[in-house]
Amino acid sequence: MYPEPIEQYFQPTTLAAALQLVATHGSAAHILAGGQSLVPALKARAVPARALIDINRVTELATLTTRAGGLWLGALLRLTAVARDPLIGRTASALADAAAALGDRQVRNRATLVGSIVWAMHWGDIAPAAAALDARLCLAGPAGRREVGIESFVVGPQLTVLGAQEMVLALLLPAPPPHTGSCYLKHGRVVQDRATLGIAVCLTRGPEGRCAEVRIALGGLAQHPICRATQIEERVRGQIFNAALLEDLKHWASTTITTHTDELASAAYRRQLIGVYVPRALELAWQRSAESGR
Amino acid sequence: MNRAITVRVNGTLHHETVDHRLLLSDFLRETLGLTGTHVGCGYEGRCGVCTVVYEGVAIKSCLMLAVQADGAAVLSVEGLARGEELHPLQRAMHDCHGLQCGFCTPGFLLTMYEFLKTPVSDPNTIRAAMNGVLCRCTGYVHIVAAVEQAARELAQMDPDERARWFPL
Repeated sequence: MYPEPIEQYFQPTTLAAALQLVATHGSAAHILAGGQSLVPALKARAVPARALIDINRVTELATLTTRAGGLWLGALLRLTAVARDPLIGRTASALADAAAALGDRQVRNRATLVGSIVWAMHWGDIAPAAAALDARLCLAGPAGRREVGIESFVVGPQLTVLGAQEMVLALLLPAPPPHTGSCYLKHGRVVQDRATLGIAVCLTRGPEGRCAEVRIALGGLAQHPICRATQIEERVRGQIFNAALLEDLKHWASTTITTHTDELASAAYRRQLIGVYVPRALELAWQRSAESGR
Repeated sequence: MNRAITVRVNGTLHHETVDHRLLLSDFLRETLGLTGTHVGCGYEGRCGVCTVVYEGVAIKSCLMLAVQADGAAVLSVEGLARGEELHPLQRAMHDCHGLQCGFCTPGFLLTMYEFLKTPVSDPNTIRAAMNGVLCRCTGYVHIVAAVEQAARELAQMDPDERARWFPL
């Protein structure tokens, strides 16, 4: 299908102008960044097309900077840039993995990291990776700026706490402790399809070969775009990281997570995937933690 | 609900007034008459056949509005050859039988044009780079062979000569 007539189209060049437009037009407007979800939604007439605020010229939002040891990833950073950035690759591998796993080359050239989080599709790759890395979002609106942890930001499938007069400025990543490693693995019907299952792990090595800290977030599950696997985390945290631990998880992990059946896979198949991918992702994150950084 | 835009397409500036909802793919095809950019999947962004190079990177032109391209530079399949001389990738597609019906070919050419700016001839890397374009005739094998050939040729070229094949 073709988009409905779009009544107003704005192309602000500064952040102040963009925020003013968002505040004025509120829920009547859509923010157009990469457009790789919005344009298909406009064509499907799934969202109204009264006003578009195209933020692609707001260069202040296209920046990647280090702040207080962590990273500030602007709302216009494209997935291609995230997947290729050596600093992200070194200190936030899970995010680089997820950015490389989403869509195809042309989509990644346009799609933004933040846009994928804001759409909050349950098969999204970026949100679980950002959750494993304990990311926060910086929002701005008429009342000023606020920071929200990603697990509070994403309330459910296609649902976030972003106000009608607010926009997301950036994703914030904390500085990783030493000996931290992370990864994101995805299982799809074909390469770079929607995630049948996605898994992000971030762990920190402790003394005596133990796993000092671990965060695991699953994607591709209907109940929520970010499913923290806290029971599995508890089973791993503080334990000696070895083959026996992973073998135990292979049989146990799948029993702790609720799965669903859809056109991609059955609930039983997803349970089996969890049993395979939880140990696999933990092992990769553990290997990466040996190279320090994360 | 119209807007005046200026877009540089294949080196030529075009001033047009377009509807806000006009897709970049239709701007190229209908407004400018450059019908080499094809639309395969009914504007869903799935087939990749409408891929063009926009500000130096490959994008699906059915997933962008024409108004977004105001002030930008676009390369479509019509801009690949230098006069009668085919782009090395076009020639390789011909040599390796990289097309049958040819409908998807512009999408592959423009996607792999961006890829070949840094010529890599490893077939797995090539396959990963082109999975955003669908072909229903060839089974992809000959397309991969064509990109390999073009990559080898471009890698052996003098850097200045190679740069002349990548104006955008």
